[in-house]
Order: sequence, then C-alpha cells, then structure tokens
Amino acid sequence: MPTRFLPILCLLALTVLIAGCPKQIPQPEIDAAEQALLDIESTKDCAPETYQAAKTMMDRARALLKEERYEEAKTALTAARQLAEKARRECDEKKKAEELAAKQVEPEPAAKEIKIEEDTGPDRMVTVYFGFNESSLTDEGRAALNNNAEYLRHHQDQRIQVEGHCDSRGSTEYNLALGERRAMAVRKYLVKLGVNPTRLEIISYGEERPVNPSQNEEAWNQNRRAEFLDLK
Amino acid sequence: MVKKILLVVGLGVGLLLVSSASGREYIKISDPNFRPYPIAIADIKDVNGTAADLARQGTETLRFDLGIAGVFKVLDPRSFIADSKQEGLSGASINFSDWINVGAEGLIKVGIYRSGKQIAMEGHLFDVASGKELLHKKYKGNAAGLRKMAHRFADAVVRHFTGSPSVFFTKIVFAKRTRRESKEICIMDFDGRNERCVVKNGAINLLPAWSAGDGVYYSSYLHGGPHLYLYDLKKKKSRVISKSPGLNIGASASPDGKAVALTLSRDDNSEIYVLNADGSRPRRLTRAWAIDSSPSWSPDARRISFVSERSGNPQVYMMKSDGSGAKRLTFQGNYNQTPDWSPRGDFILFNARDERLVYDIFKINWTTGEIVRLTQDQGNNEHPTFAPNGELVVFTSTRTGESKLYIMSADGTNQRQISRGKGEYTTPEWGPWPAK
Repeated sequence: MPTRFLPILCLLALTVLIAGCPKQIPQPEIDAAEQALLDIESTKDCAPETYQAAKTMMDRARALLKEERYEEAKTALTAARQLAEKARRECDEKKKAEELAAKQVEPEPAAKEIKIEEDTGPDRMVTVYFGFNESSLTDEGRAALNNNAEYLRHHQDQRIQVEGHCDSRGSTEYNLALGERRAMAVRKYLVKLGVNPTRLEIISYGEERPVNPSQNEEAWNQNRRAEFLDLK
Repeated sequence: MVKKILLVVGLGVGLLLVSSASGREYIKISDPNFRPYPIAIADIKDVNGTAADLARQGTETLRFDLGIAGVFKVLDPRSFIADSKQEGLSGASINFSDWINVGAEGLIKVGIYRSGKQIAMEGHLFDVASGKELLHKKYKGNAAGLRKMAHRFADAVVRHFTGSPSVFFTKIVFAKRTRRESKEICIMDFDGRNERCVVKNGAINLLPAWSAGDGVYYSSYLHGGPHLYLYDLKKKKSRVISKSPGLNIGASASPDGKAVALTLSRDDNSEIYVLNADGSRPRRLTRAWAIDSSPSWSPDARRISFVSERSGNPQVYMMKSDGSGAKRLTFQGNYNQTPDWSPRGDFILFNARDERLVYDIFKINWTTGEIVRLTQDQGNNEHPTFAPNGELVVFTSTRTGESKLYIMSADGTNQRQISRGKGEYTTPEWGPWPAK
C-alpha cells in the first residue's frame, strides 16, 4: 500500500476508536464508489496510477465490509470514490491537452492549400500522337494539348517550336508535308485554347528524326507525333 | 517476268535488226520481238603477267556493264570451254567453235599490259558465227583508270549494237544517313563505285536532284527550314535557292535546266511552285487544300506529274506545266507516291503501297493508264528514277534489311544492288548524260 494513503488509514483507525462499531451497511457509499469505479474503467490507460490506487482502496473497502467494520469501510469507500474522481479529472485534463495540441497543428494543412493555388500548372509539355497518314487530333491528342495549353498559360514568356514527325513508311517528301500538317493541326488547336499564335513556331522533320528507329508497329506508333521544344 | 515471255517468243523469230541511217543495223530494245543478244566475255588476259588484280577488276566491270545494258544476255563464264589464259586475242588464234558451242553470238576478248603505273588495254569484239572482228579499241593511261577504260570499251560495244550511248558514265545522287540525326548528300557512279559525299555539314540534308548544269539541288535543315540549296560540283560550294517560310523541298529541274519545280508551304499548305533556276520569280501551280508534292517534268517540259492527296489519300496526278488541266492518273490503292517521268515520255514510274501494306515500284503509261508492276516480294522498294536513256531504273530496297540502292531494267528484270557501303541509302536520282 502506497505510503501516501497512511493519513487516510490513521483517520479510519481513529474513527473506529471514537465511534465504536456501527452495525449499519453504508449502502449509498458502496453504490457511489462502485459507480465511480465503473465510470473510470476507460481511464485505465490515461491515468494508470490513480486508477490503480482507487481500485486498491475499493478492494480494501470490500475487505472491511466483509469484516463488518462498516465505519472503516465507509471511509475507505469514500476515499475510493474520491480517487476514482481524481483519475477522471486527470484523464479529462490529458484529453484537453491533446485536443489543444491537435488544434495547434491544424493551421498547417491550411497553409498547404494556399501553396497549391500558387502552383505553376503542368510541369512540362507532353507529346501528341497521330494515326497512320493522319493529321487530325485524337481524343488523347486533345487531352495532351489541353495540358500543354495550361502549361503555356503558366509560362507566358515561353515561345515554343511545334515539331511534326512521321513514321518511316511512305516517301520522304510526302512525310515532310504530312509532318507539317500535324504541327499545323496542333498549332490551330492551341490557338483555339487561347495561346497567342506568335508564340508558336512550327517545323516538320518528316521521317528524319524517329524516336525509335526500329521497323515495327510499336516504333511507328511512337514516331507519328508532334513534339514541343522550348525556344529560349 | 515479261521479258522471259518475250525471250521465248523471240527465239523463234531470231534477232531483230533495225536499219539505221549509216547502213548498219541496230538492236532495238523497245521492239516487241526483241531478244537479248547472247555475248561471251572472256576473262581479261593479263598479257605480261603483272596485272592479275587489274585484269579481274576489268572483267568484273565489263560483265556488270554489259549485263545491265539491257540488250545483252551475258553468258555464264563457268560454262566456257575455251581456256582464256591459253587462247589469244586475235581472230586467228581463237577457236570460234568453242564459243558457238556455249551459245555465244558475240565474243569479247580483252588484254591488258602493265608497265609500272601505266597500263594499256586492247579490246576486241567478234561475231562468233563468221569469226569477223566487229570492233578493235586500244586505251592507255594510269592504272587507277582501269575501270574507266573498261567502261569505255563496254560503251563502244553498246554503241556498236544499239547506235546509242550507254549510261556507263552517268552518276547517281542520293541522301545517306550517316548518324542518327544527320544525312549527307552523296554521289556515286551508276555501278555504285566511287562513292563520295559532297554535302556533309552535320545537319539533315535530303532529297537531292540534279540541276541541268554541274550542280545538285538539295534541301537542308542547316538553318531551320528546310531550305533549298544548290551545290556547285565544280566550285564545291552551296548557295541558297529558296528559303520561304516552311518547306522548300523536292526540287525537280526542268529538262532545259532553266526552271525548277518544288514544294513550298509558304501558304500554310504544301503547294507546287516553279522557280527560275536561281530561285527567282516563284509561280504557284497548285491550289488545292491538300498536300501537293513530288513534281516531275515530262521530257518535253509541257507537263508535270505530282502527288496530291486532294482525293483523301496520296495519288499520282499530272497537270500542264502552267498548273492548268490537273488530272488524276492512279486509281488503284490508296498510297501512290514519288512519280518520275521517263525521258522517253511514255511511262511514269511511281511507288505504291499494296494491299499487304508493302511498298513496291510500278509504272503507268500516262496516255493509256496501263500499269506494270516492277518489283514484288523483295522487301519495300521505293523512290524509283529513270536513267537518262529510260531503260534502267535506280531505286531503294530493304530486301536485305537496311535501305540500299538497286538498279533494274525498266521492265523490272535484272535487279542488282549497287550501293556497297554501310548506312541507310535513300532517295536516289539518276543523273543526266555527262557533258561532252
């Protein structure tokens, strides 16, 4: 038994000496103490020491009740109830402190949101791909150009060279013309999205600059494209 | 193919000879009863035993030249009975029955003599049946000129039988990819020898075309563009001919050399223009909101064939050289490109993608619409152009993998690889007759 409860025990002993041995069971005290202990079942983890002390006092009270030392039991029960209430206060304080700490952290996410609003849009222009002998834009192509227009909106000082490319099939000459048509289709769409045409230069490389020099369907798909070059 | 059929028919008829103004009779390849003249070319004799390698090179040159000339059937030397090391060069020392027995009608006997760096060559052409000597030529010069001497004699043989010059002194210009992002403009002899690159600036240079003089038009990305330049083969210098905004590509010199047709996209669309040879006074010929490209002049300069996708996909068209009267020529397939008008005026070569998505070479008779297929089942075959005599065609083929240069007869027979180097060979154009 922890030494700090000694005064309580002395008090109990004194009470017994003075009052003799009353025969009445201190039922209200028992009920109150038991309820208080039930109520702090959840405080086992947040105020473990006080909780344990309350429990020990309650065990002591029960032992006294068995021995029909009711006055002593009554005092023990009161002490147990008070210890239980103390444990509850401790827990409440701890919770409040935690909530406060949580509240102090909260302003950070708010700051992050402000940063997103200040972001510079897409981090780069993306390549647009075309079908065989096609210079019209696909849905994927338009999506890529929406990204690129957004990029250009955030980089108003950038001038861009749109490069039209073809796969290696077909004649050198025709592919130069086709590559130019691809670059023109891209420019036209970007202008429609609000990009100033003076910021867009076009050039066709035909089949001269393949990304993938292999001769197969995969390589051809990769090579039919419009690329974007920053003109500093 | 077609020629084989003709050959079978021709065997019954015999060699068809046409009277010429000089009284001699010439073989005419375009005659329907034409059959190639069987000729034996004996191994060149190394007369004083000091030029075995030159003799071998000379023999190879003669057999290649007469083999592709179109008028001859060069007999397989493995079938020869006579021992060329033993047999002499003069008519008296030749056992003609040995040559009759291998099926020869003509016999070529050549000897070379070496003296230090100098060589002499004598060439004889015999009619096997009569033993009569038809030609006797002598040449001498530096040993380095050996192949040139052989071409000279082969040319004399061709002239003897056809009355026309051979193409053995013509050249071919082409663009060759040397690195991933650079292409050079190069020139080689018609047989693939003496390859040399004349425009090598590290940029992409493409679509070379002969000018009428000693020059080659080409397009280059050297300063963006691509712009059109003219390389002067004598001064060894390039100058700008056209640098309109956009494309300046696909030059084609007019037959008299005074004008050049090309594709410009200065109107935000590829259109065919004609410029003066120096690039001045551009005249727009096409006005379709479609790709128009690849002009090629008719030999009389009255018409230009070209590619247009005004019908929805690329097809071969022709128009008058003032741009009027455009007419579609090809209706089969949906991908017909790179027309080249024959110097004889009758056929236009072009490249088509067939139903198996393979690229092959065809020719069309522009007056009748008749189409003849020239290549098949040998990789992708593209960018054909005629030799100046209209009897041979140079083209690219991927039959061995990478794109290389080949020549063939204008009927599709006798296909031979001529390029010898590494790298990707593209867009050949056969050059004009050499200046006299």
